[in-house]
Amino acid sequence: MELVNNLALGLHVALTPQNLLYCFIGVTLGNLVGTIPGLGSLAAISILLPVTYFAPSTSGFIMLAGLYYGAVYGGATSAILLNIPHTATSMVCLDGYPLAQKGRAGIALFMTTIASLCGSAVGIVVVALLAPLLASIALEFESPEYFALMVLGLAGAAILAYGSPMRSFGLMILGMLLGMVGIDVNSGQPRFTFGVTSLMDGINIGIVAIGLFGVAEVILNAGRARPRLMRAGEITWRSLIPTAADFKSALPSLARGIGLGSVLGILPSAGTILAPIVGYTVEKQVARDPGRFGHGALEGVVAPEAAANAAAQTGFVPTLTLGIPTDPVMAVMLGALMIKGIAPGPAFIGEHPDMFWGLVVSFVIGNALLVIWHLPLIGLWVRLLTIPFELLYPPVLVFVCVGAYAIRQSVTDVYLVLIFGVIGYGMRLLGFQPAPLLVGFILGPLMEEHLRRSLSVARGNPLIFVEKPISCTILCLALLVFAWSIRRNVRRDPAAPRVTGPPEPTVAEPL
Amino acid sequence: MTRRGAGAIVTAAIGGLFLSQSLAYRFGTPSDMGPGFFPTVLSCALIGLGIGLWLTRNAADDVHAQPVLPRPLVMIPAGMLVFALLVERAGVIPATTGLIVLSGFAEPRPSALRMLALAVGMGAFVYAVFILLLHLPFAVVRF
Repeated sequence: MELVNNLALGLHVALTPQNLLYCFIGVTLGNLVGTIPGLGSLAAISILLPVTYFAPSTSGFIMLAGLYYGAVYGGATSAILLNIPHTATSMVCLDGYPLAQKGRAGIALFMTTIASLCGSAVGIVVVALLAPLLASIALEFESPEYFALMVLGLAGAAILAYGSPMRSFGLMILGMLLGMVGIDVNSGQPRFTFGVTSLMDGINIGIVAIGLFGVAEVILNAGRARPRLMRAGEITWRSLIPTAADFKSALPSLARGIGLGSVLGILPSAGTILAPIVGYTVEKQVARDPGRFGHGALEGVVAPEAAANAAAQTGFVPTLTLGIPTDPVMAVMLGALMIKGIAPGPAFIGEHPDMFWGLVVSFVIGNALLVIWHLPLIGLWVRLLTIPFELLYPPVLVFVCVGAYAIRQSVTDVYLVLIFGVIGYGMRLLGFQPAPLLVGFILGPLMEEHLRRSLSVARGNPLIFVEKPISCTILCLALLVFAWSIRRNVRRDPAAPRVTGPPEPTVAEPL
Repeated sequence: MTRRGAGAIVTAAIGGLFLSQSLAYRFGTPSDMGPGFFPTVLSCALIGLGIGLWLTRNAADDVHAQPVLPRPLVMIPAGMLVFALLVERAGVIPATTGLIVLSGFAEPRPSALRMLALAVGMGAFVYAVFILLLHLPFAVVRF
């Protein structure tokens, strides 16, 4: 009964014309940037982040969330038609592109849309049921538990989600250090400000994200020749319709993908990135004929896509109820909320029921909009793939600069975006994926605070973390993840399933 | 030197830079952490990771090498720099125009027509969205 009341409240919030408009803008832009090669969802969210500073909190958050799952939707299109992976959809390329080469692009697109819709639908139900439950458990958490959760989050993200654990740890630590720039709240001591007055308030996460992803991606992609393979005319209505055999082969994969995605999405710091990878690996292992994978197996498209979308929704559970992001995009969204003075955590749902339930219902509306938009207009989306990047990046840069300046009307922010852009480009050249830095940036100051509180309560005794059963369990989990990664790195068993390493991109890989 | 070696050195150097600053803040004790406690620990960890990266630089996974294109690397930051310099002195429209023209040279074959069209279009867009719609107190054009 309570759930019905809550959903009614959410419906009331989500159906206001203003929130509907923001939801519509979010999913449409998300689908757009997800489809267009050269801009990942992280870059897109970063670029549009300043807009949310001027929108009401709930509307802005609905838009950002729509942008996020809209981009996951759209990403499949460029993965299938152009073999360009985005992080969340990198696995769809493996079999989606071979399907397109066999002239079955339409069916692959149709099935991914169905997979996205079903994955999201189940994910939304999980969010509505699980988030209040987890929040009520997490109300009992104190600083040691939070600190332990953050350690697990960092370990998970560094080890499971990205290529080299050592590089990822390095970037996370750098992110944590950058998160400390500004005045220390406890002592009033300015840290790492290098005498610049406008750094006293700290660096805005939006600025870091815009630079590392938006600008770095433009520098990386500008001036490069891009593949133009697809003609819009090749995707017709008729080509979209799968056969009964296609449906039959895809249904079990769909169910497995959704199940895996819903569960994995909840893992702090790693879930949304792992979900499609595990989804694909499992499909390949349970298949009677694994040799078909990589040569256009429909199951290899459906399962990771369903898993990615389910995880994109369930990822909101730990993000909103524990304040621990499941991936860098969620980290940016958390940052956006914090800037608005809203602290995600176990009290979030109780304090902002309108926002939480409005968001949940907006997921439903947004996903419905995506299906209505996506399939009938598939020809238009395909045509978008042919927009030359030289027409795309100058407007992106204008948006980046004006947006960065608009946040605080401070030129320093534009300089910082520029600096982070060049740093992000340099990282990519040195083989570092900058995404873990954002997770560290958000978690760093929180970890310091929880460590300080825990140790202060325990009079400096670090055993407090293992004496409390919940934090001890979580830390043991973190240790397990760590031990597993060492074993994997030492043995370097070529037969072991690799959870990292998306397929070779044909252009610079967007994030 | 390999890229991996360069990554290791850069990591350790950044750790060193942060450590040199952190040591200036009060360290405190575990029961009463000073502002220098956490940054010092983190900086040391970063230096340690840099050393670790150096030692394992041949075993680490491969880098997907991208050739460096000098034009975008120079012209896009140059465009943003001009934007930052102009936005308060000359207004947001001249700054936008400067950004579009300079960043247009990141392409191997810059086109004056394309730059003009983009400058006009984006100028109108910025005016409509940021000034008319969001009411931001930007100077449009300042003489």
